[in-house]
Amino acid sequence: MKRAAGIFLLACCLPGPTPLPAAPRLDSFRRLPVLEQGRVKPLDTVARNLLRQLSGRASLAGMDAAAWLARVLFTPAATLDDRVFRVDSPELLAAIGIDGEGRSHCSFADLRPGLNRLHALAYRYAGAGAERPGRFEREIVRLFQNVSAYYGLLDAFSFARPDGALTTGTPRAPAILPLGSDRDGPWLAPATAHARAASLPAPIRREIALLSEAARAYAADAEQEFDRALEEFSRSLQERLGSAAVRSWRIHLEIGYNRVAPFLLAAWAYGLALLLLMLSPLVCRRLLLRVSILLLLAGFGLHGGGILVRMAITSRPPVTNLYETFVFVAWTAVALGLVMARLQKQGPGLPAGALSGLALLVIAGRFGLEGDTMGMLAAVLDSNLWLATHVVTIALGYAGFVVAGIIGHVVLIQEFSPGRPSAPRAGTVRSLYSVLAFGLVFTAIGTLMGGIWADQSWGRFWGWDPKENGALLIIAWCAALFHARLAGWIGPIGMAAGSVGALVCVALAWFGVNLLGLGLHAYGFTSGAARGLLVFIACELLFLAVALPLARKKRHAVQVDEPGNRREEA
Amino acid sequence: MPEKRAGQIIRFARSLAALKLTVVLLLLLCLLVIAGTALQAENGLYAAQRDVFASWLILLFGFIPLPGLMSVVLLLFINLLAAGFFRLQYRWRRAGLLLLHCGLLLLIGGGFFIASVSREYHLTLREGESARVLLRPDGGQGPILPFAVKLVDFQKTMHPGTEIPRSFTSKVEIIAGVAARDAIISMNRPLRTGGYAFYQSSFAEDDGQGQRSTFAVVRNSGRWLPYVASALIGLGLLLHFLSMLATALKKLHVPDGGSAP
Repeated sequence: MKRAAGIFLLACCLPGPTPLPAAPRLDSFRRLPVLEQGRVKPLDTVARNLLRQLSGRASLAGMDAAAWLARVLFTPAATLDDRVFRVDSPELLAAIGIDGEGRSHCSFADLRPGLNRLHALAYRYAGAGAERPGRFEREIVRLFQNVSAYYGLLDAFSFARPDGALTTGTPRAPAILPLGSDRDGPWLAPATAHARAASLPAPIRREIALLSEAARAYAADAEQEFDRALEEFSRSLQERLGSAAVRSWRIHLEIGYNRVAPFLLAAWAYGLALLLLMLSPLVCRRLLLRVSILLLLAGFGLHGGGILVRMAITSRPPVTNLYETFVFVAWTAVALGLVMARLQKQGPGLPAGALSGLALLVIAGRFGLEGDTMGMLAAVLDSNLWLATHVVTIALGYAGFVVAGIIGHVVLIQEFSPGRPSAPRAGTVRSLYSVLAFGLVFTAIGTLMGGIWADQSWGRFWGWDPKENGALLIIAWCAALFHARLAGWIGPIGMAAGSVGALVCVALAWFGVNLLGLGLHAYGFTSGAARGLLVFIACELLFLAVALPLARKKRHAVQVDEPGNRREEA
Repeated sequence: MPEKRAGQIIRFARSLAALKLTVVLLLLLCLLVIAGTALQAENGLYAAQRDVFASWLILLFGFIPLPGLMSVVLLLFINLLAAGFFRLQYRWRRAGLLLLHCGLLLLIGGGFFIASVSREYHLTLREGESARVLLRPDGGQGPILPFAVKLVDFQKTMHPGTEIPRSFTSKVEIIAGVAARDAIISMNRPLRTGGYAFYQSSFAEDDGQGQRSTFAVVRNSGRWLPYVASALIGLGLLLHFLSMLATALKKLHVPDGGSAP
């Protein structure tokens, strides 16, 4: 715990991507339960997702997301000049007739003159005619959606303001008012409820009055009044719905999870550990090694804790969507690295674990930008036992392949870098085989379990679904590697290159299949990741094209006789 | 000269067990899977099934012959069978590998068996309607069930405040002669009766006429085969991996670079 606290402090001192701003407390505001996308969550989460969706950032001008959302809801006129809309390409602004040379973020006031044109373009691009929209088209639609989301918020509390409505549109605010007597009844936005107030029962009318009181208090800077009104509102909700409908411990837990951002901290710990590991051959070897192990362990603990907290919040198994696959595979890869380092001190376990943990968490962070990472599941995916076992088993296998792929790089680089003793390399090669086998075993078992799931749910064991094909590709490739080694076609270098190839196969199965946007497993929506995937594959192929001939040449020159242990393993 | 002939046959059979053949076939399998998936993205699953996954021979650009996925898998099966006769070592410490390869034989063989015996149909019912005639995938009339299926009620629920479906459930009645029983068919919960399995497949809303529910109906007497095969493969993989791991861990205590030649 101490260690974790140390890391926490360390991460806060670093110029991290999330400075913790000294925002007004707004605790009662953050805790308000909202029904959004099928899940009751704290307003804090809604604010974070929205701000990230609009601006790509976690905070705006020193305000954190909840503070920003409160400002937009209660004093909207003051936020019209906030530069909150991320604009990725300058041609976007040009297309809607706005002069915004070199600007990465625009305010609503900046965009206002071009809104009509943006609207027209977005409707054209989002319409049925656009089969495969390009980047520009997608950006237009995204910007339009973001502006509409913001626009809908402006009058969320206009009923409470003396100056009345700011816009002519319909308010689309967070649904914080449950109408029924339980969670599954309809939830309304405050303005909608206010419009219907006459037909609503007295407790709800009182709640609406409390909300307007809070809104007025915020505008008048009366912090205590604001808190009191919202506290009373929450109490009234609890009384009306009962504690089973909105579990306050979940809300608190989620706010804590948002605030700590365990995966971000873990990524920092892994990155730092990797840096120290790379420095360790040069200076203070033992000290740096120890510190990096501590960092890795701390990151690992935080990471695992984050996964557990998510499971508690959603009452779901650890892996249910694309985002969570990255988080979980990262965690498993670090675990594998730590175990390998324990067994084999000289081995590549620590750097491989740190690198895979870091890389996968960074990718997860990118995917996390696309909204709530704890969204609900479509009916077909919602059968806990199989989801838990099949997906988790495959994720274990993927972790094995990620670590094996990294060690494969290490082996190839060691192979052609001059003046290395060959002793540690034999150990590296051995650990490569072990993790590769680990990956094969768990991916194969997980795939078969997936087949059983499919048979029980859809009546067929195998259906050439893209995700199934991806798994088959990995398994066939890996089996080919082990058999080729057994046949004497390839040695350690070939296996190393092959495990880099396996990493490419895993990447294809993992994202490529989702990017195809079809099939029963197309639950992870991704944009712009296709290019990343292609770049990754191209880089790996280039690496192999350079490293393989070099390694072979070196091997011929040195004439090292590789101790082959072909007959012992298959 | 029959003896020479027999020798030739045995030599040929031995060559079928070659590891190099396995490697080539597995690599071909990789290529075909990639090609089939790409084709599927372009032209849909049906075309991919026809042209790659269920094909014996592919004519690339109309004239370059390549083995289709079926041929590759069949050859893998033969390769594996031959390996079982001529190459695999039947020893206790190989038990994991043997189980694994047994399971693979069963999985591939079972796949061919199921492909030849299993039949898929579908059945669409309006609420209150009952039927006993199944439809084939091409729309033609399929077999007549030994019982009638009546759709009593169809319900779908969404996650609150969203369009994400939480569950689809059809309440049906199985009527065989005078006896009738109620049953539920929902996502991930098929109904199995009389050798048929009914899966909730899709639904449609009729204006004013209630809802319609569509079931995929599968008749598959080889259904248990992949289960047994999966168990064998999983067990074999784990056993072999653990024994390999034990060997590797033992080697750790030997100084590095001193592994047995």
